Amino acid sequence: MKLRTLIFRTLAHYRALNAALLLAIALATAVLTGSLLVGDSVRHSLRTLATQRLGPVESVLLAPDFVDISLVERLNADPDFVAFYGTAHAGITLQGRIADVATNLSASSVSVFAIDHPDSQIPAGKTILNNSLADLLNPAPDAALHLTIPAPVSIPLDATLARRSRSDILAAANVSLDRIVSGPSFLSLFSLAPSQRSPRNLWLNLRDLQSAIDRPHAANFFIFTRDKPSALPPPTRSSSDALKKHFTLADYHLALQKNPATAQLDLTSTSTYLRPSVLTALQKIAPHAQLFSTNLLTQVTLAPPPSQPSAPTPQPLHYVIATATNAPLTGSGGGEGAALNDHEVAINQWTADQLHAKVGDTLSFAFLRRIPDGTLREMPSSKSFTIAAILPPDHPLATDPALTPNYPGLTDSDSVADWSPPEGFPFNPKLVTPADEDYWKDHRAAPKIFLPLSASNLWATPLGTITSARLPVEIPPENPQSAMGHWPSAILQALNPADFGFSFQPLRKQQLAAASGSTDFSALFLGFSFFLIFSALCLLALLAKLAVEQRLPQLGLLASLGFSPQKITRSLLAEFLSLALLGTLLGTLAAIVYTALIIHLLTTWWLPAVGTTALHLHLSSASLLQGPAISLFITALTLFLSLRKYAHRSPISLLTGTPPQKISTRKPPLAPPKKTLKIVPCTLNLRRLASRNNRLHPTRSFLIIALLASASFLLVLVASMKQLPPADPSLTPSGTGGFRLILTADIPLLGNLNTREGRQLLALKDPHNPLLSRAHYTNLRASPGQDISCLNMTQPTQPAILEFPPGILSRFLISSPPTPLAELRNLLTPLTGPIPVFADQDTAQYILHLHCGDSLPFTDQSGQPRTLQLDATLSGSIFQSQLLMDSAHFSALFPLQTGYSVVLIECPEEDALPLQKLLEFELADFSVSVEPTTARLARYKEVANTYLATFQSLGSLGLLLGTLGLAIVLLRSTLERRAELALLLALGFTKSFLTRLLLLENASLLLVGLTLGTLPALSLALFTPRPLNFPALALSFTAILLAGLLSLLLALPLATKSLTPASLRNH
Amino acid sequence: MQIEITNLSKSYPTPTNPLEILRDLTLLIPSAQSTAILGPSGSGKSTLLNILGTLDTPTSGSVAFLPRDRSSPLSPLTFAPAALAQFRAAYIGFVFQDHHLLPQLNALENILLPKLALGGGAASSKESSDRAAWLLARIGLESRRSHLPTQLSGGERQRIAIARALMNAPFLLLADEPTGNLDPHTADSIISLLLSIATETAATLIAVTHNPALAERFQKSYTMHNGQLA
Repeated sequence: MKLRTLIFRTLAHYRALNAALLLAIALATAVLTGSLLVGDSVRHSLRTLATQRLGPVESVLLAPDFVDISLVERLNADPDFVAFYGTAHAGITLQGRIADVATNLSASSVSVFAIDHPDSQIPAGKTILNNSLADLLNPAPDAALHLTIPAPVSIPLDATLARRSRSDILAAANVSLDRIVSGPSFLSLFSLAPSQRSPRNLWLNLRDLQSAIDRPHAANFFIFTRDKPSALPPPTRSSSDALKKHFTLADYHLALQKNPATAQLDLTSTSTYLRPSVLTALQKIAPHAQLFSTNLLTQVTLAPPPSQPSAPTPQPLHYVIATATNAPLTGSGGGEGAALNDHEVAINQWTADQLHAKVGDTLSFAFLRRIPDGTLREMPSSKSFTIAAILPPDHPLATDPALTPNYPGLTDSDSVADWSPPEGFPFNPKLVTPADEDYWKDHRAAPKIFLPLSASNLWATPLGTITSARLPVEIPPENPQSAMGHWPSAILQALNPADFGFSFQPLRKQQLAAASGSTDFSALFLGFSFFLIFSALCLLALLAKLAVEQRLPQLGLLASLGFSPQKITRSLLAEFLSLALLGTLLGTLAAIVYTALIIHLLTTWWLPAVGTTALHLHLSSASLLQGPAISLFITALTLFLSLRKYAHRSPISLLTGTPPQKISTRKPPLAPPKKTLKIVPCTLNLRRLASRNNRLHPTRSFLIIALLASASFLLVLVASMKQLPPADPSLTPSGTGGFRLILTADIPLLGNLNTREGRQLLALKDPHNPLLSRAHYTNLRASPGQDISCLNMTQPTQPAILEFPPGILSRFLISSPPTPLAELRNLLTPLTGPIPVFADQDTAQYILHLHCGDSLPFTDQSGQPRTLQLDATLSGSIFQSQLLMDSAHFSALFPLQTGYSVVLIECPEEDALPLQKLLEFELADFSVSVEPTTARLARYKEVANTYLATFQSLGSLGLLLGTLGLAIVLLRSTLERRAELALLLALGFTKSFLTRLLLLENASLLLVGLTLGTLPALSLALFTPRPLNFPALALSFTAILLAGLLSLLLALPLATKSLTPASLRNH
Repeated sequence: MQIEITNLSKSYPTPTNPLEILRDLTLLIPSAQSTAILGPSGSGKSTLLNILGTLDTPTSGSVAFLPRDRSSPLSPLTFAPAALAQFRAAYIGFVFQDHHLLPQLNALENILLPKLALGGGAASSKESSDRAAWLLARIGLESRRSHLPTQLSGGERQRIAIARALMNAPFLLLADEPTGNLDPHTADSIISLLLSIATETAATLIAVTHNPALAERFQKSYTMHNGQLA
């Protein structure tokens, strides 16, 4: 006979108990490994989604504005570029709104795509919708659809003369439905931002979309595809450098033209202003370039001479084009001389004639300025300017229309009276004189007044203020035919696409990295399953002890036969480890089932937590090895700790099968003095006996009570954490900030809803509607970026940012307040340092994994790398999806971001619903959605609540399992007290009495544990404003109580089966 | 091998005075002698047997095993636990009042169990198997070799227990009330078996019993009272 024979025989003999041990080990392994596999499955599902979403796309070039589609040909003509980055395909992507003409059903937040790629060829006049979008519209086959999208603009919307009316900024297309795509395909899932949620995709023919926005050869993004992975090494130069050599001046929206009058070169921008990066380049390559900032003055007035303050002054001039410049103007002839100083002005002869002005006179002017809400305000110049020069008609700048950029509606008019100025421009045709018209006829929009360059700050925009630069021509001797000289190449060399906001993104790499997820689901489910694993291990320890205690006489026999303690330990460990191995193996198989179950639950019951049904089971070999290995180690450790004490007990105590009784050496208390001695009635009943018995093993009783109490405490507390939006959203401070509604616009609103002008600008049909005027609107700009709320499972790399006006912070619940100096720092922080931002506490903690003071790298709209620093966090706010940044920093980082994407609305409660409907109707073309702030909060909180429900479910299961431990405690207790129980039988107690005694002992542990855990948690929960789901709690606790009692009732017959009065003799 | 017991005492601490089980007990037990120890419950019989069997330790005094060749005496109670277990396996056989057979092993395997304690593959050798079979035949249960303990009567189980105690040919055979659970007829046959086998194997037999009639069949008998031999 060999030791293994003994082990196998023992295993087989105690098969019932060993089966229970096996199940406990399998359960612990299944839950532990299953949790790891859930994480793997989520990550793999997100990776699969990313791969399906990207289809053939490897990387993408995002343009800040529309560029000529010919860029794609230039890129593809470079074999090196294609080898590095793949084949380029031009496309357009916009956010918009779609409406079914027949049913009027509409959907906002639609991602509109048109790409010149074989996978996305759409017939002309047709559209393809993905099923997420089709579900909202339910369109008929060939349904006629009306699409609203933002129209490209040439003049920055912040510019004074920008056209911001609804008709100027919106474009539309009418298409018919070709088909609906569903399933995990490129067309169905493609998105530039990683997210597990299905986007609302609409695909158009590229020509159709170009036609709809009136840009026949335009594209605003380029995808790069590769048929097969590149065998070449990764590019060693930056993508910006690689792109640069293929860029033309037109791609930067620049034009270089020879001025016929001056024989100089005019560098202008087709988007009105030369960007700061162009000026920086010019400083390097043409430090003496003449810069011009041309704008319209609404009025120019000649001041009376100081010596004759009451002298009559000529009529002021109206609608005068002026330019601020550093060109030398004070000398004669314009060729030589100096630039105007800060209080000087030059005028052309026509102006001097109209104003009867001479050198030395002073003049002042008024101009239009766009205030932050987008409204135009007429402002007087803050000071007067002294006329330093009057430019003669032959002066090269005196009547040069090339200095004025093209302002549609103005510069293209035949006469001043025919001007069609932008909305909000206070144009009065009666103020236009015949002389004005004559000048217009002769010189068009040539500037009449020349201001120092510093005056351009008066009408500065975030995108710049310089409208043109004039460069001297130097004909290179080697190329005398060249009209432009070296300038085009010199300018292109000095410019960089990234500085203009061209963003080359390795989309596949980014999205696969983001698929690692913002939340580690392995850790999450390990946490959720903590009680389940803990209960299984407790059960395992109890079962192991029970298994050994049943066999103490056997161990004693082995010891008396000469088996050494080490040999007994080895034998026991070998026995239990073989069980552990088998249990782990079974558990590993069960883990697969457990994972499949959890994935099923995540895509059904717990769907709100993940927001996608695209999760699937994925078995990773790493987790299938790690989980069982960890489980085996923990199991072995648990078994070793549970068993080690038995191997070293004396053979005698083992043979009797009872633990060694410690004889107390404590002296008994002294008897009380006789005079105080009185007879105390002594009663002994079942309850008292049970209580005394429980006190006999205080540690065991304490442990089981502590386990049940802590589990029930946590479960009730977690139940009380169920988050609900505030009942009254108008209260402050709160998660809603006192705002009742939140409006989100895909196409930013350029008008302020608080003002009549703003409502008119937005072309509301009834701008005087009292419903609109009774509300107050807080307008916020938002940068495009990734949703950083818990609704997005992927790891965001470029968070969306929302403008946060000063003073609004106090309306929200702040969990980590800003430092006292933070607000001041907001104003003082230079753009080179970390930029303070706020975030919702949950977002910071669970998605971004940031604490206050932590930094986050970020790339701004001009392609500049920035560092954001978390300064404060808000508690349970409606701003979970974005970071919050003060207005000044927002303007600096996002100069292209004009108009309001988010509007927070305060209104009377009774107005909320009609106002919501009114705004959604009136602003439908802006792809607006309006929802109660409580609904927004509820969506965020539903995720947290679902996770809490998951924890509750798994925790309850763990607690349920813990109650099974009671049955084992009962069995162990009976084993240990066989002598005592046999004595009771010998004394005449019935077996029924013993059964009741044991039941009472153990049921009291169950009740005490549950009560001790539940009551404090309930009292704590009562102090929280959140309502408790009492019926669900009561149900789960009744189930646990019943399960505990049932397991006790099942264990009782087993425990008392071998109890007879005769068994007393053995002890 | 003689057993020399010198000033052996065993006591347990209590809140008042120590509870003395054995008191300054001195005794020499000659080799191959059968000895019965009588006495009332609590007189210290089993404690003495446990100390002799190295299952328990004395509070004071010593137990020495003196080899026949008069070489240096062995004091196993001073051994380390592993060496003590090895000593027990090699030289001491136990028969308990309750047979303590392993329910998962059959009769032959139960007899072989002490060989497993010796290690080194002794339990799986042919010699061991032959000896176990011989012992089984010697106790008259060769037809029961494959029977599990639950398939045996009380007397048969105790015979198996005796065979198990003799498996490693111990020089000392200790029996603690080996017939306590048996009827008088079976008890008598068990004592006969013990005595005859002890004689055959030249083992020193020390048995604790309450039965003076059975004790008379031993070469020497002592009565214990209050931890002392009379």
